[in-house]
Amino acid sequence: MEKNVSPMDPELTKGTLALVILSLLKREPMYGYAIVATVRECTDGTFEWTEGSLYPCLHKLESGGFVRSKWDGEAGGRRRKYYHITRAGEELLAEKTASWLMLSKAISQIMEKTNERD
Amino acid sequence: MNEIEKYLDNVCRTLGGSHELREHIREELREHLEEAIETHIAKGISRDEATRKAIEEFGQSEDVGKGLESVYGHRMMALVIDKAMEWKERNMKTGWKWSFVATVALFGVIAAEVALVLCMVVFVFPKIQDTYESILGMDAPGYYVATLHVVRFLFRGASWGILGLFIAAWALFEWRNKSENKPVIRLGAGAVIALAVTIATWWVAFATIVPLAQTSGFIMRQDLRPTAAAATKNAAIAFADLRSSVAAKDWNAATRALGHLNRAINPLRQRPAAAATLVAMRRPQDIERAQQLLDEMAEKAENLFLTINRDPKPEKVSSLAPRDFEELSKSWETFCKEIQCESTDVQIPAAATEQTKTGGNP
Repeated sequence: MEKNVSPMDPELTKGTLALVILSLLKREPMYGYAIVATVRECTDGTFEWTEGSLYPCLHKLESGGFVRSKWDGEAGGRRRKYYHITRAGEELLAEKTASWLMLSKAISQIMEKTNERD
Repeated sequence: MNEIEKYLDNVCRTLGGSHELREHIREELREHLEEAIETHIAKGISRDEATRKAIEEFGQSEDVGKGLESVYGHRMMALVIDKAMEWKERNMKTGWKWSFVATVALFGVIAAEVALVLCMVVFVFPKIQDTYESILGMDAPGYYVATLHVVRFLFRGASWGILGLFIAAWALFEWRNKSENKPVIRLGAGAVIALAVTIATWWVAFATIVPLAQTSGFIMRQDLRPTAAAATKNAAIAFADLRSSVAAKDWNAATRALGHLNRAINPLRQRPAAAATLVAMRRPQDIERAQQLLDEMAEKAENLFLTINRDPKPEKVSSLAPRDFEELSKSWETFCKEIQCESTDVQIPAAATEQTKTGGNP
């Protein structure tokens, strides 16, 4: 499917990165590249980010105790560092989700009213 | 080193934390990039192109590094080096003229400092040596003697060697060094040399100024009577030795005795005040009398000063000051009379005594 939407505001992406990561990790433990690939697949490439920005966010979440990591992989093959969401991470995800839904709803209402006036 | 490793070096360059942590992060990012490259290669592009694309998608190494630094902090030394290199890139490439001016100025400073040390060694040090040995008859301080030996060795014994070594090192540097940092290295080396020469100059200045200050104080306050007495005694001993040597026709001993005689009378020859003291010492009672008269005169001058300056009433000053002045005048006249007529050949100008009698108007 061809991408025909304008690029997302990088600042907006940066602010929601923790929410995206935590919600993906709630599904299953994942490693960095898999998170990037899943986001790309789910959003058809709409969610634009530089892949390197994922790791500072992941490490920040890990140092805050919201995720845990573990190296995994066959000997001589590719080693991957899997991240798991913790209980604290789930609580943070719930807070962030509620906050995002409120914000999303509020912005949608504003946009609707603006469109009605137009 | 391949592109991935270079990229990871840049990401982790200023990253804080332990070595293990950095290796751990490198491995995680490396795995990500290699998986991305394999994905691109599977789509049919070359490895080089896939590597370039994977790095591009990963983002600027500085941004990733800064992001990780916000979690783990940064390494101070690497950061300082990076900032210095940034500064160099900004300033030195375009500012080669300034680097040339700075280098010339720096070596000018070095030359001026060396010239200053040379002047001190040639002109000032011998005077200090002479002052200690001939005038004060005491040993120079240890730090001064040590400095003198070191500086004399450097300027007389090793000066050509040091100069040759410096020129050879410089020529070698100019010939062999082809790096773009050459002006900065030259400037840095000049700064190190300038610092060393400045420290040496300060030390030589210290070794010069402190003895000068000390000897001038000694000379001003020195009681010359022991010096004059010791010089006379030493001269008498040397002369007795000389007499017996000549009588025995032992010319080597005579030469030694002459040397002793010369060293003994030098403090008297070179300081007129010492010779004068020798004369005055023959009449110690006159010296005491002169000092007594001077003390008396100083006391009366003080009285007159207090009378004039302490009492605010002009009529009281007018009545008391002439009386104090009269007292002072008497002392002055006694001093002039006794010193002039009985003690020495010092001629007190007649105008000076007349002036005091007429109240200061010539």
